[in-house]
Amino acid sequence: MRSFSLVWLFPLVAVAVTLGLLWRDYAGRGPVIEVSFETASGLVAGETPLRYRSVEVGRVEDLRFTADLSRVVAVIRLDADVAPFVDESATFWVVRPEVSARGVSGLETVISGSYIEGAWDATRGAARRAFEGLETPPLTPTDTPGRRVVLRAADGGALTVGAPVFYRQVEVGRVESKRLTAEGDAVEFDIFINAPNDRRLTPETRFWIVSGFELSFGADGARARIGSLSALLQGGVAFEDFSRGTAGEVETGHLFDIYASAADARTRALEVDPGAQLVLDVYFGASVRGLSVGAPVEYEGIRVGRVVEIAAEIDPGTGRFATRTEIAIAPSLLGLERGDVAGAEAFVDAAAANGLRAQLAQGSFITGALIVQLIPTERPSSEGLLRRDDGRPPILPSIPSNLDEFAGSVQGALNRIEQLPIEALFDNAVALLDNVNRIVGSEAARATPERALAALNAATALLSSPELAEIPAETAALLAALNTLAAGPEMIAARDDLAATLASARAITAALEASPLPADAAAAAAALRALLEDPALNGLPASAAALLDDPGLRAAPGEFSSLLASLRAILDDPALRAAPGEANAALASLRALLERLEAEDAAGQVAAAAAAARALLADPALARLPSESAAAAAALRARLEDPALAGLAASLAALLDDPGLRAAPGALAAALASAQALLDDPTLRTATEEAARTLAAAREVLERLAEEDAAGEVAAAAAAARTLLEDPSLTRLAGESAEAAAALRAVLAAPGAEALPEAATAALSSSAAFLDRLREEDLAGTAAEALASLREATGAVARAAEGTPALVARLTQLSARADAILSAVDVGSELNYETVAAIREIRDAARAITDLATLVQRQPNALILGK
Amino acid sequence: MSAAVLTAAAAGRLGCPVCGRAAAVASAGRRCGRCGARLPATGRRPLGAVWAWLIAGVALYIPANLEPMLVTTTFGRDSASTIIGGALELFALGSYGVGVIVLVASVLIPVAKFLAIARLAAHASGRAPMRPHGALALYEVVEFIGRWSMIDVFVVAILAALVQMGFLASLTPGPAAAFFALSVAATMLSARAFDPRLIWDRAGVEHV
Repeated sequence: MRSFSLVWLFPLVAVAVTLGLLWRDYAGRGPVIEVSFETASGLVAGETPLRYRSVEVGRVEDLRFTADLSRVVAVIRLDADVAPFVDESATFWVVRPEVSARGVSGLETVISGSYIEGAWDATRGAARRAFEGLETPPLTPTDTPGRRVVLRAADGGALTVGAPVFYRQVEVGRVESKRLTAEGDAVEFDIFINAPNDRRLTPETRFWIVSGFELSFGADGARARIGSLSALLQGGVAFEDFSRGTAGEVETGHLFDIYASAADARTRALEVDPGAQLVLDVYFGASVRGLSVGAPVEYEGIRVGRVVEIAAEIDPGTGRFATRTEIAIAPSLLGLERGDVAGAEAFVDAAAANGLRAQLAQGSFITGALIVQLIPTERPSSEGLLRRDDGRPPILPSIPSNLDEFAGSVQGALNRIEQLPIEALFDNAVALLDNVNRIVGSEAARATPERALAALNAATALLSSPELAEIPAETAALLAALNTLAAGPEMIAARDDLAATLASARAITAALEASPLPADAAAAAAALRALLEDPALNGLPASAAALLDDPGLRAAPGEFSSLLASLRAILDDPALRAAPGEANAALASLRALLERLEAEDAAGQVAAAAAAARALLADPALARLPSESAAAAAALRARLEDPALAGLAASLAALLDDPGLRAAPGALAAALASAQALLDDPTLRTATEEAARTLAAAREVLERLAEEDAAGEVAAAAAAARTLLEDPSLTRLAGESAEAAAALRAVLAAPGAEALPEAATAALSSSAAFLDRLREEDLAGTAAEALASLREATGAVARAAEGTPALVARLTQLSARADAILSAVDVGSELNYETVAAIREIRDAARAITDLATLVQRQPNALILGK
Repeated sequence: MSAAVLTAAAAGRLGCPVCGRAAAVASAGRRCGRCGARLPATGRRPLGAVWAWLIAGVALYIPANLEPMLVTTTFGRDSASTIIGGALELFALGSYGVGVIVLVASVLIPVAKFLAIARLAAHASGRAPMRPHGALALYEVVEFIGRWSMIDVFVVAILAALVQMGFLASLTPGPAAAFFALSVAATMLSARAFDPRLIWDRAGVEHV
């Protein structure tokens, strides 16, 4: 039986093993749970395991659909040991390979196949058998220590699920999910902060978006910061508690707002939750366009709150439309205790009673965003805040903003800018520039003719003045008066007397012929010729040329324009316009004078004088004249041969170079002016009377002479004169004169002569410059002085006229001598030649001036460039 | 052969089951005087061992079919299949021949062996007599087929040795293989423990 029992051990063992295995299987079989998924992708019935912390704790036994085919149900056999923990807290999701910004996960499932991951906490709970699987794996395991809070943002663009949460640049959590709020007005993010760091969360914590890339511009330049790649790709959120060390636990699910940036978060850190704020209503009586919810409320430039609501209201009583703006003022921003709403209200109430008002103000000129400003005004109201009974916020009075004025003024300015004739302005500017260009190109060339034209116009006006037209008439009258005077019987007598005088003169001439006067005169002529041939005289034109080449003279054309202007001014001068009238008056005076002379029997006087002259000529003393003339001629010759005379030419040259010469015309002008004054001067009339008396005296003299057998003398004198006139030398003189006239004509006909007027014009211009200068140099004073001296001279003349008879005698002698000389002088052709040459030199000089003027006219800048 | 056959039992003798030396029936339980083997009571190997091994084989055959026979690891994916599950998989894949072979070798033959041995044992115990020649034929079939019963285990062993390509694919024998091997071994021992002479003992009683 022993062996029997031994053999039977085997089946006993085998049965025991089998039963053990069966028991193990049965005992190890946990409950079946059903987890539904959207899709069964990657799940295989009988194979796909359920894992908990990567340990297989179950297996999918079956896959089926829900009754409505909407989901797939995975029937999972749980291991018995974990089954008690699979309760309400359990979550299931399918682990599949995933590539995301956070990295690659579930890579092992690429080969091994997907599996179902389960997560549950470590506490046993009431068994649950049906679950809804998560479509995406939860980022944080259920039992991970930490805290879940909710962030709220206006939109969900900034963060993606899985984005990191940073605390001081250290990743301490993840964004787990995002969803729209039930109202759809915001997006909420579930974030999880890992355990040790969730203590950093306080009720005052501020969250803000951190993008991976940050670019900021500040006073210290631009700064770019690149965060983590993860943050770069999916954004991130950071938090910090900016408050002053307020502590406090945060419950799971606490709601935080997300700010746009760290700066924003810091700025608004002081804003507290709406419940602890003073809420006020403001009715702005104007458009609130540009004002937005969240816009700051500022009190004296400090942000004290924000706009929390903008709404429209229609007053049921009046039916008026009103915009209601609800603002919230944070007591802490007013410097009060946090949450001290009552204190804030008391303050605002008092301030409103003292005139505090709300006003819309421009927050940004660029965006046009408006802010609410609390500004003190000068109109206190007794009641302060307007409290209402219906529980609505009290009303803070408002004052109209000056935005409209500002906008209006800006608009006006813009309109004005718009209305500016910019195009016309540009056209004008272009034209102006063109003109300037043109003027700069040839300023003098253009200005000169125009001014010359103006001057000519003035001159024309002057010449066409009626006073000037009367001058010829006056002159004709004067000539008529002279004619009458000459045709008088006294004149005929005078003519007879003159014949006698000439006879006497002839006698004297005859006497002269006997004397060596002609030879002396010839010698004098030779000396004169030598003088003319003097190199110094030849140098005269050169000096003149040098003078013309003188830079100062060259500068003269530069003054040409102003000179012409001055000339025009002079011509336009009323005084000058009066000049013809003055001349007319002068001529009238002259005519009156002649008429007076006629009235006082001047002709008779002259006849008497002629008789007297005849007597004088017949005087034996006159016979001595030739010899004395000869002596005088010799003396003249000696004088001409005097070296001092030779130096005269050089002196003359120097004189031409002398600046003082320039003053001469001025003086001349002054003299002319004085002369006019003189003609009008009463003293001249006196002088005339004096002259009349002188003539009377002369008549007396002549009559006295006549008493001394003057007639015979006169006859003899006339005979002498006739002899003289009949002298061949006199005839030759006439011929020479004719030749000289012809030469002169030739000179005038020469091409250069035509240029003379232009040169003369230029010279006149110079004269004008001189006149101008002289005018500057107190010409009037000078003229007055000259006039005064002239008056004195006139007086002197009047006095001297009393001694005229003697003078007349001397003049008679002199004229006789001169007559003799003239008759004796053989006017050399050389002198004529020299004269012509001198004229040519002058002509050349004039031409040089003309050329210079032309050059200046064509190239004004030549004066500047010096060529 | 007729009723004239004298059996050893009838002659009061029993033979040593090892060396065949005849001994007196009275010496049953003692050792053989020649080879020292223990002499069975009847001179036959006891039928209880057959039953014992048979029960052990059947018992082991249960987990052999419940536990996975072969664990195929392809790219880290474990795929465990039991014997019948594997055969059904083969059928599902269209490998009917292989499926039939697996089924025959792993299910039909072992089960047939169990039944055959049980039948023989029942015959030998006289509860369900059958014709001795038929029983002998059955015994011979069981003996012959017994050596092939390990074909499954061999296949698994060879495959597990061959398909070891690391991560790509590897085969690991499941616990069923061991159970199956033990089961086969138990049935083999059971068949071995069966003394064919028992067939004839009963037959002798009947026919003699």
